[in-house]
Amino acid sequence: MASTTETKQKKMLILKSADNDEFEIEESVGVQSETIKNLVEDGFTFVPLPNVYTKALIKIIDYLKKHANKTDSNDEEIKTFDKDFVNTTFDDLFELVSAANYLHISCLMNMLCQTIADRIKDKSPEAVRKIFHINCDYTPEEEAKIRKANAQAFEGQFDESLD
Amino acid sequence: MGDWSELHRDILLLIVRRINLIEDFLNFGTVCKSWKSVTTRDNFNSSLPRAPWLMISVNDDDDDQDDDNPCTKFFSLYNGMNLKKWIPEIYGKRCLESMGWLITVGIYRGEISLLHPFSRDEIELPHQCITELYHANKTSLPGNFVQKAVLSANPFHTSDFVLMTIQGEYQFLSFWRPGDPLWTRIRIRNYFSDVVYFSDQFYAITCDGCIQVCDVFGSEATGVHVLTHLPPWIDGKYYILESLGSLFVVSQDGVDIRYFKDGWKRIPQMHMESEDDDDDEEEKMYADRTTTFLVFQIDLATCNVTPIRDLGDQAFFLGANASLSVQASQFPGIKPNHIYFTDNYLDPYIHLVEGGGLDMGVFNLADGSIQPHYNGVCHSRDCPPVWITPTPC
Repeated sequence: MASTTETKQKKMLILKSADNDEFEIEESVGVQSETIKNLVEDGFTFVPLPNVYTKALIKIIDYLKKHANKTDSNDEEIKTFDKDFVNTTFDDLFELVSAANYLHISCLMNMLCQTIADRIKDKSPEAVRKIFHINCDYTPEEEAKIRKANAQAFEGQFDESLD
Repeated sequence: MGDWSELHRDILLLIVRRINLIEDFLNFGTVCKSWKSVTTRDNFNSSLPRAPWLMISVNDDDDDQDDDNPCTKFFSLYNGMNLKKWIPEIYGKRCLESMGWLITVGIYRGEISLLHPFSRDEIELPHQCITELYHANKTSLPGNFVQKAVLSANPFHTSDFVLMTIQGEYQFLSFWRPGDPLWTRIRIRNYFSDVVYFSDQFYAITCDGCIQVCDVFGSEATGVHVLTHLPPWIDGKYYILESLGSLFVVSQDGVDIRYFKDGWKRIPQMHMESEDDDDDEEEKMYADRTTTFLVFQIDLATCNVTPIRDLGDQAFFLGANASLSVQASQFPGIKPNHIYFTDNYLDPYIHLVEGGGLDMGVFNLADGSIQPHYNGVCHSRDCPPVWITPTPC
């Protein structure tokens, strides 16, 4: 979408993912990330991101572009974009939240963490472990103790589904 | 594929501070050790909206009849979750709730404490017998001495809090701060019906509908000044509460059920045998049933009192000590524009063998109907069912 009327040369940055793919983006888009902003302020135009894989980086660049173009009139459009953005698998959310944390993009972090908190609502600890590929590191005795300490002899049904 | 147990601690913190249901918060800590490390009480975000649970007193539920091991049951209206907990500290005590803490008053000995039901942290408070003019102000049952108790802040988070109460036969406002050897009584007026902590002040309403603001934080002597009055024709028991940043007053009106003998599904109740059995029958009827509520909004700037017929998305929770407002759309099981209430009449506890607790239900502001919100009997000699917003220990 190169604008022909644009005369001023836009400052560009190159981001390099952990799997060595390079992406060129406008500086104004990239500096929404505190991590990138700090590097730009130190004079870098080539930004290696050893903790961010290509798959997550593509999605995050998409997010940054969309949010860089925020105006008063496209509020609804951005809301819809955000909703679609987080409507993904838990594995993707893991990659995204780790990347967003590394890149220090606070609005994205807030959105992702809220999504994760909402999606584990009502889930049993067993279901949460399966979803997040977590091996329980409690011994059965320790786990029994915690459940008892919580004293939450919950009688209700927690959600065992993995979506 | 990521292993989420290795998720950065900062991220876990951001997630855990967004969990509003206590059961989800506690489950979070059960997942694995690193997740457990962030589920501390400080990370239970107190600014998130929460709906109260119904706390049903020791031994009140039919299937919990175990005298040696009395249990307290907590019931969540919005997801039907139950939890049972053994809290021996509240046995034989009347409990009032504020900010997840219980203000407990011994039924017969009258001792007063602040107790966190899950951590079982306990703060002993000055005994009622050393309050001013106790002989004149005491209630016939010591357990009824404190009729309302409100915290200004959670004692877990600060030692700079005030516990405001309504005390005694004459219903004085009296407060306590950590370190105080005695309760401080506000003597300007009495016969208070309810008090709420709202935007750094205590607002109170008297039994005759006078709404007052009370400053206990200033360096000057405690000041109380009158804001406004309810119209005189409004009868009943008054509550004062905060909702969406505004102050509301609710009046609860009921009838003595002797006039409704056949209209209600009656549970047999027996009067206590008293020394003066010569009293006529009229004196012996004490069971009340709520019939209606009226809601008023108080404009603090103009002091205008406006009747409200629609609460919008809000649901109010009222009862023994509770005066809360919850945004219904955030909690699927909670109905908007309804008032959830629990028994708040003290007489049955004194005069009926079975005690009180039966006057409970949910009032629909749109059509004035009352439906049950809990399918069980909550008779108690000791403690009425109360609304409690659980917080972790």
